[in-house]
Amino acid sequence: MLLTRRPPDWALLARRLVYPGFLPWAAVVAIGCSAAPAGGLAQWEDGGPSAFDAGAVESANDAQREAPAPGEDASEGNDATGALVVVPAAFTEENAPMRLLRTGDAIDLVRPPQGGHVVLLAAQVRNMSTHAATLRVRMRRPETGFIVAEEKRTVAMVPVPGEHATMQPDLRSRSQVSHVPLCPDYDPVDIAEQPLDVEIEVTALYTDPPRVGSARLLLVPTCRQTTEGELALCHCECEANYTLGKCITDAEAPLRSGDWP
Amino acid sequence: MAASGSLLLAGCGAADPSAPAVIADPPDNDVVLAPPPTPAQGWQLGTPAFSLDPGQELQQCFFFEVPYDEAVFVKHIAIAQNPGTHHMNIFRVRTVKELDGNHGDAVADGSCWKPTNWSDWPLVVNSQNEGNVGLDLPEGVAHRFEPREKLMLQTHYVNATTQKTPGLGKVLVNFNRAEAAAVKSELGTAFATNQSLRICPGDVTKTFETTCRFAKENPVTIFAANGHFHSRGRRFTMSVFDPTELEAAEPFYDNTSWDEPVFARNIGAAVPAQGGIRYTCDFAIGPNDCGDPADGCCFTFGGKVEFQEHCNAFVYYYPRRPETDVNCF
Repeated sequence: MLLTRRPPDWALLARRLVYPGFLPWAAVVAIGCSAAPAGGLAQWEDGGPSAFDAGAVESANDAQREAPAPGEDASEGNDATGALVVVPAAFTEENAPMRLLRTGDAIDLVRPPQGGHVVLLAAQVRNMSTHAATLRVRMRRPETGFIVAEEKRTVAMVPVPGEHATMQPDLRSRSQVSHVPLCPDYDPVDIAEQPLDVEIEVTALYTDPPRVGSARLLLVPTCRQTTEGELALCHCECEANYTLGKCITDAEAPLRSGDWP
Repeated sequence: MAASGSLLLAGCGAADPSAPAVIADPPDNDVVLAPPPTPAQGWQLGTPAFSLDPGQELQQCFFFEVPYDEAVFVKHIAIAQNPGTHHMNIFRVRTVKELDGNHGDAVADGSCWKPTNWSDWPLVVNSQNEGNVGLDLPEGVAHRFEPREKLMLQTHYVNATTQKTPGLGKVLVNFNRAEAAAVKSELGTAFATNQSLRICPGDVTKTFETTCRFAKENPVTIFAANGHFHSRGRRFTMSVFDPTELEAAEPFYDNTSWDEPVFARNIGAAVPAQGGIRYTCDFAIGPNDCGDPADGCCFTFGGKVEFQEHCNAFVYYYPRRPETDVNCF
């Protein structure tokens, strides 16, 4: 089953990127600190500031003073402070460099072993020396702050070749990057080709106190499979209002060898 | 594997009501579960008794048809499993790929191991506990089954290092009916699996946490839940996930036993509209443990107890979404 898809509304996305209410998120926001960030309510219903987004705006403004403009390397602004500097990145394949991300970038929806579609996200982290970290990725609707999905895992960190004091997950296995489950999409809003507000938080383990850094940017989950069957399945599962059994297809993509015993 | 009985379907009009629910002369550890006395009261699904060789993991998928020509509701499910069971899941058959069967058919291993074959099959019920387990639904809540709906019962037995099957394997499940007029809410289910796990020798604090949302426009109540991992699992927790809250709620489910995990019932956890669960698995393994020798002895995602790992959550809630149950990947 090949579904007709509407293209990304890049004009809308561009408007969001310059909409004053969205400005705090327009930049890739990199925040470093030496203690766990305070949590709070995410209340965007009235569009006004809340306990959470007021804090986030403050942090974002701080970060904007230090962080580069959207699209630039988000890590450079905070190097001098010694805090963790988180540079968002997408996993590409095992033993290959990650793709550093800028706000507005598309990220691939990929199919894990058992089904559904996830995005594989991680980060390069400057000013980090420990070899273990907790990686948390939270994906939200930009307009409301509604958390679509969240994933956290402990990962092994290794030095980035050629980079001073910079670590990244051990890319010999995709298990070392976050798998954010986005599809099937049971919500009334599409996942594919719609921008989401993404927060990537890295906590260095075995440090006292814990060292935490985070970055925030807009990303657009996208189906970019190269075969018709895989592409159709991605679109079907990542389209709004999924129901179990909806994506019946004869052309479902075969799994990689080794995905099951 | 040697089956010593026939596929059981008792207590319904289509099957021989006099058919025994257990094999003759059962061994001491053989479970007993009498089928519902009449079709009006319910029906029983069951597997034949089967044996495992030393070192064997056996996964079988048995196919059944709901033995009624009208929609029926179920208020109580009773499950009985002989020792050695690793899990028993019953799904409603949806998209058929490589795994299928007619009423009474069984598939041993092969396609019964490939999870993509049942990736869009809604969960009916599961249990990972030896002996007898009952699931008594709240007053006015019932599981709905369609006329002649096809079900698949998947059973996984282990007779190896981490688990033993001292006698024969066997599974029996009773579905005890409710009067349609007494049903106020249908039971909904959610199955969630965290994929691409990897735990390597020496990992002592490996954590995987993710979310699964199953409520739609209205709040739901979680009635029961259980978590599933293998012997590297140390702690499995679930908490209510509110997509408007950043902070995690206190767990409503907390389990530290991998082989006889808690099947929590009567939970009563309120889930807000569009919410669901946040579930977390903690793993630890020793420096000399070995999963896949070709992969640095790491244990990766998969169903084989001896050298793979899982982090699966099973949740029962009400009222059910009218259009679908939910599987999260």
